[in-house]
Amino acid sequence: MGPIIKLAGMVNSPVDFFLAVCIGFFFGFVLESAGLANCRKIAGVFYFYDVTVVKVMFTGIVTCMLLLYASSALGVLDLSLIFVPDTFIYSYVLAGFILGVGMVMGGY
Amino acid sequence: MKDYWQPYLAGVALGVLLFFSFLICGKGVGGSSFFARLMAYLAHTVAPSHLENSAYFGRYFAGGKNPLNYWLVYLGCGTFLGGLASAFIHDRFRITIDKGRRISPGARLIFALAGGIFVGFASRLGLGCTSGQGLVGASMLSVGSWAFLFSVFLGGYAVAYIMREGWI
Repeated sequence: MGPIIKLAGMVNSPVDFFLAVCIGFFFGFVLESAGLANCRKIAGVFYFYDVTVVKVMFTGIVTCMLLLYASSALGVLDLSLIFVPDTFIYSYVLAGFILGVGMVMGGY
Repeated sequence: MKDYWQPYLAGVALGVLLFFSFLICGKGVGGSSFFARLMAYLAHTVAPSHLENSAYFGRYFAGGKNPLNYWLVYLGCGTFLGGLASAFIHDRFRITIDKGRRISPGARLIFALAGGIFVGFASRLGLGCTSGQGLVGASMLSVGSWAFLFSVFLGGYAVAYIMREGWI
């Protein structure tokens, strides 16, 4: 069944791009509603005065993970067709560290 | 100003949304590509040959492609509009410099620029930011994404003490 656009051969079609705008809209809406557009909340994680970001992020990860694997087990979604970034452990560890430093400096 | 959503409910909403992004388009969300491609596009108007021959940015322009005609760029436009809509609906839209009490607005902006340069560089080195690698890679249980995510917290806590004037 899914991913629908990929199986329909419509990757990078206007429909795909329109859906990207829609998904992005809800993504931005949820992030702002959760308070993740507020840099004091993001910085709060690193000083333990507000850990909203951690709660939202990890709840999101676990929810999505469960739905992905449940849908795969039910045959609704073909996980092999889904994009996963390649694994370059050393670059990722270094990149994550630099990003964390920048996040505390800049707040986003 | 209205209250933010309850964090765990917001997390569930975020997870469901991500899942539908995978189910419908086969891709997850990402934030940093939008900025990388927008900046590459703008730089290309000034120095086209430099960008086209760049080992990294060259592929954005390969075969006369427009770097902005890309799924994550459309997604980024939607994210901007969605955040704006939420800010208006919840009566939070205002122009301000968010900061800690003890730092001056000027210093805050300088640190914001410096932090942005770090994050921008790191997001290209790591093929994504906290959205693309963090949320998406982690929910696909990618080992690299989890290494990235823990490393973000490590980097943050490593400099939190010296940056404390900015936030508390």
